Amino acid sequence: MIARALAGDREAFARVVEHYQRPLYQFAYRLLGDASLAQDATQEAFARAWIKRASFRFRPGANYSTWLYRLARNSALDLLRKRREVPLEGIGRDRPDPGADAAAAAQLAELGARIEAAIAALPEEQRAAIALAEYENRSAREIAAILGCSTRAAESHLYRARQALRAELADLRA
Amino acid sequence: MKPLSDNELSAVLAAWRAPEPPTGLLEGVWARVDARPPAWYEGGWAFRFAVLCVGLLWLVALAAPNRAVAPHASDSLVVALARAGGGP
Repeated sequence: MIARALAGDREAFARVVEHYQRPLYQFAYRLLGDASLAQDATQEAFARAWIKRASFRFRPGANYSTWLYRLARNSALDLLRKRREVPLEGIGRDRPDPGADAAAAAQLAELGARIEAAIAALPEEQRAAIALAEYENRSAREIAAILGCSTRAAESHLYRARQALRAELADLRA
Repeated sequence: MKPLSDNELSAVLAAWRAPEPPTGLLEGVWARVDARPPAWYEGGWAFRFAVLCVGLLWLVALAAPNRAVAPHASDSLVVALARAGGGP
């Protein structure tokens, strides 16, 4: 499917979008903290993936999904540069309805807002590293490929992010 | 307060769920692709090509065998080319 999409097959690329849109959108959301910006970043990443598909073929050993995440992160960074600030006031606005129980839903929303705010306060590289490690199960090596840095630097981003979050969210211990 | 361990942190972070992507995302992708100018148009390549053509025409005019030895400042490229072709 990916090979056909890279060869210029629009239908195959549509299936690639369908397959990757959820993880890529959620990754962009975790970087940007806003549903509308996350949608922009995801669509831009896929558009670049289609337009620059020829350049992917000249990357020996490259992983397609890693490349997509890299494009999504770059698109998110472009949007961040345009907007300058992550819209923290939007926290909680786009969270899905967790269930019918209003009290439990409110508690979950509050917990989610605390975590989202703590992650949003991290520097961008650390935010991306923790989002990729915790929510996308990516290794330090894959994170390094997505962020365009060394594995050692990716591990350092991850370590610093975890250190900051451990202290910030300590009161949420179950 | 004692900081969370790695496992505790992962358990806490799992409570934050990002929203689902909106419907119609693919249509937005194609709209962006179709709205983008062709690759040759980006990077000012059309302008660079035009400048190159003008430069080459000037070189042709300057190297023309019938060109006047002391050209007037008012000579235009068109006149120079016409002279090179045996015109007035």
